[in-house]
Amino acid sequence: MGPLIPQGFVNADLNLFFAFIIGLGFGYVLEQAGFSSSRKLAGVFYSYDFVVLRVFFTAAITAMTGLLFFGYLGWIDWDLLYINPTYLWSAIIGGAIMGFGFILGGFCPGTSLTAAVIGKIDAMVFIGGMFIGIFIFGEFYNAFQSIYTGAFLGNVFVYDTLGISRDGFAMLLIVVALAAFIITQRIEDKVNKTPDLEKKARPSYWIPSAVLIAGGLLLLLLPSQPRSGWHEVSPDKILTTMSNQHHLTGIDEVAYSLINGKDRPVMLVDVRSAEDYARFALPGAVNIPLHQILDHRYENILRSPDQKVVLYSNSNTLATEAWMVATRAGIENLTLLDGGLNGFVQTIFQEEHITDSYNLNVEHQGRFREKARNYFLSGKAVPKTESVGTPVIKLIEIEKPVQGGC
Amino acid sequence: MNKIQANILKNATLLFAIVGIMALLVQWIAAPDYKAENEAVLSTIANDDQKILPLQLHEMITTNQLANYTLVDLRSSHLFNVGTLSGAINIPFADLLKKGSLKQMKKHGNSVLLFSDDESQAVAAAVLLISKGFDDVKTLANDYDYIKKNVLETFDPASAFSKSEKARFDYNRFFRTGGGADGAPVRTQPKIIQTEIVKTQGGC
Repeated sequence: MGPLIPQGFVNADLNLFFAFIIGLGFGYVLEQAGFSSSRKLAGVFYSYDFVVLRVFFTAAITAMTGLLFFGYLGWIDWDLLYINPTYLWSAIIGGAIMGFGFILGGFCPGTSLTAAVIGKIDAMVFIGGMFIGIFIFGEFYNAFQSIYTGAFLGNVFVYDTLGISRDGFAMLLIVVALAAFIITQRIEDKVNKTPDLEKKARPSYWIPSAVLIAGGLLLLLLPSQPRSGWHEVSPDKILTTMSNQHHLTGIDEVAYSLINGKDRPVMLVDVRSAEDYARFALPGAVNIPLHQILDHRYENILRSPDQKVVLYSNSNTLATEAWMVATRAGIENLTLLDGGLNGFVQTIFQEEHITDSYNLNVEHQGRFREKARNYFLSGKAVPKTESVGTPVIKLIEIEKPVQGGC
Repeated sequence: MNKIQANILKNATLLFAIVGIMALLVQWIAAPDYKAENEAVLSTIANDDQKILPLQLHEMITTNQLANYTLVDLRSSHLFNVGTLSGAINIPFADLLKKGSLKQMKKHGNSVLLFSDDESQAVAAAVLLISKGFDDVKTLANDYDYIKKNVLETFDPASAFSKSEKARFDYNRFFRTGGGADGAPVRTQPKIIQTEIVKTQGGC
């Protein structure tokens, strides 16, 4: 289910369910377009019915325009899209075989299934032929292997090869598609000798054409990424939060959490480098180095709903940088440790604690810090939540496939 | 294609267009006023070459390079009046994003040098200015009082590379493990991170 699962909108277990629903939709569309009729399908080769070309071209430019807009709005992450790798020989030879089979049998793989399901026997035989072909390919794979994997060009894009921009190519494709619709209509009329009356009664498609061309032009004009997303937090709000110091968490609160873990749980995030983290980290802290703070994989950790998330580094500086970038991205209720590790050690371990004062607050704080100091020095700083088992954080990593195709 | 199907096509494309336009409008209206993408800002600050260490500042002062920057003192006006870097203007942190302030800071194009009595505040101001489109933003490492003592008055070579993020202690000494006096470093128990590999695949 493409980009929706890695981004956490959809549970990964629903993958097959969505595949099923989409499959139903695809079969329905094919049937509605009349693609279960081999006569209609083969018409594209004999010039009397170009419906196959029109349907697939329309689908392609609609999907392309939609994807490009969704990418711009940030609803789709292009890095997560699967791109078919290009194997030249496989594409050419396989395409020729498929075209040959299409003309002969009047079906292609997907449409043969929709036709077989409604009871057409020629479609069922076609499917049988497909399986024989698959069997032969599998059995004699060793003979085909060098051709099959030959001329591997990687995941190339046609606009890169042509040397034009992606949005430029999109516009070009829309224009070519519209031209193709007009030209194929003319050819159809000539071959079928359509009477003028019928031609005149045809509805005009200027509205859909205008919308598509306008869409293509808009894509050309828009930058590839908006400079700020609608879900981001405004700079003024960030400035106000910082001026009021609402983004800080005190040392005492973190110390308390380290001692009485279950009571007031705090999720500590170390934003320093992996080396610094390995050398020392506060008990129970997770490492998300600054340069990875916007990584999708860690988003769930930073957005913990039931815990207070506290970023820390050696001082306030690095943690502040991480806090600002993450907060702008829309992560709420994030705070940072005021003083960092330097301040923590200074306050708890180096300073003289006032344990006897007429000011009760000062006295309580002093006694607490003295207790914390002894607690950490005597080695009891293992999170009490240990008894309920070490919590597991699941990250989803997207593995880019090496081979694919259909 | 008959009339009904043509109508469906017309209505569907109009709906497609309307949804697209509304989404773009929402994006345009609701998006806050930033001039640089968040990822771009992150890679700029992750490079960490905006911070001017005491040694570099000393060199910049002696070679008069400071004149190329708009010097901005983010402290309160009271502290500013007591004493500041020569040639600096005063913009208290809370007023950083006001129109007048931004205009003042454009005196030397996009080159701004920020400092404060808290290094993290200067860095915060730098991040905000970078995301507002200033592309040459620097901050002074350390707070103003430290800089005054170790660079402005007489340069102290021991402070040459000092900055807040330097670890001031051997932290392991303070978070000991069982027993106490042996000083062995605590083996911290981070949460287990399980990586689930999701393969993306294509099809037709």
